[in-house]
Amino acid sequence: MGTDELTVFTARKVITMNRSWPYATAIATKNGRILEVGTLETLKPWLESHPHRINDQFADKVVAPGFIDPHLHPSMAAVLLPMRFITATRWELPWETVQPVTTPVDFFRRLHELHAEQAPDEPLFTWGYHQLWHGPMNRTLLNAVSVDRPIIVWHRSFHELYMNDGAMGWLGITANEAEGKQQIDFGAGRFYENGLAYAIVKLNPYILSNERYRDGLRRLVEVAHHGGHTTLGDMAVGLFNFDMEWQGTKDVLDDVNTPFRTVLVPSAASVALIQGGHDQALTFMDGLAERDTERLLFPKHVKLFTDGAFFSQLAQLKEPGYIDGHLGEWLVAPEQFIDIARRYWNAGYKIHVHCTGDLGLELALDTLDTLQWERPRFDHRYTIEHFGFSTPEQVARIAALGALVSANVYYVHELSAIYAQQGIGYERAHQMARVGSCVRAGIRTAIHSDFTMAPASPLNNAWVASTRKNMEGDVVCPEEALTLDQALAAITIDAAYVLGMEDEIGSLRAGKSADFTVLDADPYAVGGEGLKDIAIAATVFKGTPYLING
Amino acid sequence: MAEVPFIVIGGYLGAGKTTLINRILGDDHGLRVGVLVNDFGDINIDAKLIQGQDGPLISLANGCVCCRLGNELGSGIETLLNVAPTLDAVLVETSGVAYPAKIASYAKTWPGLAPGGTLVMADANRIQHLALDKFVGPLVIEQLRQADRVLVTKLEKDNDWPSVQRWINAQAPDVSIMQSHEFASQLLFEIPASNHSPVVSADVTFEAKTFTTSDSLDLDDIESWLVSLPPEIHRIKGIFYNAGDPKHRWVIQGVGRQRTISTGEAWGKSPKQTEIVVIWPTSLTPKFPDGILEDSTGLQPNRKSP
Repeated sequence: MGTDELTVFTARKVITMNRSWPYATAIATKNGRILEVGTLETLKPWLESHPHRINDQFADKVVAPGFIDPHLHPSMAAVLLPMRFITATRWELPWETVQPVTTPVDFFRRLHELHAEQAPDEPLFTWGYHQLWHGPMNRTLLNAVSVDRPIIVWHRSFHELYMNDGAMGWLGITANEAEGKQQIDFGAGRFYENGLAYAIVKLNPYILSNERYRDGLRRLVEVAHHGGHTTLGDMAVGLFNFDMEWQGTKDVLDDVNTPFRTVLVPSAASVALIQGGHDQALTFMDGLAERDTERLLFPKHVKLFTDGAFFSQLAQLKEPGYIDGHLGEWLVAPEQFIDIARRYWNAGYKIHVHCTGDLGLELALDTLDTLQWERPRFDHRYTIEHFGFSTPEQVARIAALGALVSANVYYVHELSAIYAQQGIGYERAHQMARVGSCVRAGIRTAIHSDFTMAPASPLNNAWVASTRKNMEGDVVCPEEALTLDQALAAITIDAAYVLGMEDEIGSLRAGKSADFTVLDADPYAVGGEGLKDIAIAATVFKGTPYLING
Repeated sequence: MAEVPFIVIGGYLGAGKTTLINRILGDDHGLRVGVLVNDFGDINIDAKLIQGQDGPLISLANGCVCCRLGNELGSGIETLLNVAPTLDAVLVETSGVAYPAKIASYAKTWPGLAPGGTLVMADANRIQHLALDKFVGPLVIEQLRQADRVLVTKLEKDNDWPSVQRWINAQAPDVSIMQSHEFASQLLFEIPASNHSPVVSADVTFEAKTFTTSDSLDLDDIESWLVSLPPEIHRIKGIFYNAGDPKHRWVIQGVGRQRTISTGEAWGKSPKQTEIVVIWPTSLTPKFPDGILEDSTGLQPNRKSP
């Protein structure tokens, strides 16, 4: 609903991320759009001609462009977030602060509490168990908490889970079928690898049920709000099931109270699976823009995959590969990859390619090279997603071919130390997420969480990108660190660029959407080191403030 | 709970996996095979054979069931086992970039399945070139190494056969190799166990007998002989010299109690010799009738190699 009245937000400092007009103290807006960024003094030409209202609720805060995570997975969040967390590290969730639980005794004490809290007829799912802290786990120990209520204890890694008798009975898993099988320890109630796949098939009707999935998405809305986001990229719609996810997205993320927009990037493979082929998939994709709403956008982007998961060491590596000699995985045959990429390239799509290893990246770049030769495109926004392992020479190719990078820098934090020891050695492990070189080469470089792979916190990611500190507290390859300013660009204007929305969001200037993230402290004052500790007071989405804990 | 052998058909793109599956689905072998495929589009099922389609499932007149794989192998297996609980085997067509051993390992976990072995297809014209490819070279070699049996397709000249075998054995020293067209559906149960899958493929092994004679036979005689065969006979296949049509081979095909007799190619210069193979599960001891056909040898064409 339009109104003639202007709203002027004032702030201690406005960081615009517009290089030509970097700082301000006031922003005039109307109907959710920025009219001018400046000071109350410089805004006078507007204010003298229109009725206006000064909103000074953020007068002592620092206003930044609304944060953008260009790559996360609402569907995975919707599965994880309804579980109760019992974790060795502290987790700040919007609905609770999870205190660290670091001993077996405390784990079971907490499990008893959750059992007592939860409605008697509901299964109890926990996530975060890890044997290094929480000791042995098995069915008998869980039965001691409750034999009847289904209890499912999901490991921190997601790669295994444990069940009590109640859960096995609930899911109909009997000794008759499961005893003596590999990767299922029936006696211990433990399911891992293929056994986990079996358990998940049994659990899916529950964890992907309408009610639970929507509850998970509503929790994601809170998590994203608390992280300061005003735009998310759902960078693979269809991970579980395109139609099911779309229904949930429409029901929850399009709600008028959701304080962000979601850019939906379908996975080409998932759509082809549902539509019965890549030709039909392209036709279907062409029609998706008709579904656009104020908060949900299908801007003709598509997600492709080359190699396997970084966390599982299935990235495809060039020589000399992994220390133990194992091979990475292709998620699609290279010749099919180029065939699929060509369809979307020739149809004018912006292509995002999941690449984790340097050989996966090589395939993405060879493909782009061929496509550019066949049918040159400028401003194509072909984006390398994740960007785990790369070589310096590949950075030059990315630049030469006009591609972009959207990196998961959290790899550096969580995995650089362990991958140096058990993976690929120090030299290459320390250079993972080589984002400093990208920026130096003039490549537009965003950073993302890939949530649930890393916390959905742009400031935390910017902290990793600018400090390159790993979990051990060591600085890893400072040559590849971003400056503070580059790190902030990577969660604002450059992330907008990756999503093809830089004309609308990502910086604060006349004409853009009034999307802000309101901070308690000035990033330029606290420096890269202090980024992760800056408290977020509120977000503003299209001119409407959404206070945090308010 | 009865466990169904889970047989993996692997190999790089274009190696002939789908062709093999089409053959298995179309063959009149009397086995109820459940097949998990990546895409119905490539599966060429005779429309006459299709009894019904329900979402990801197609049921065939010969008892086979074909299931399209979604995102996950696990849910495909569950769908198949729920719909068709009495299958003789489950076959999975892997994607061209899968490691077959990883897929095969499902059989050791999944309730209702038992390991059934791994076939890896290799295109004779392309495999050596692919092995040098910078993206998939290590993958295609690893696929061969994870095979219990490599089936070679598209061999153009018989002369090339020894060198193709040598090359494959150089990559995968212990693997058994055969040409795809020599591969009969029964052999699915006979995939040799290798160091990669220590569990022997399946409990089902077969015995065979070959009946031969140079005399011409009347159609009536042969029909009554077929009827007199013991019920344990699982499969029958062969040619005979029909007194009523001495110019052509006559072909006998049969699975279970279903047998057909039809005209085949001309004898040409080949000796007119009747040769009929019957096959039965090792666990049974059929009693053969005396009569028109002599039992030549206890040939055992499909026995497992030691």
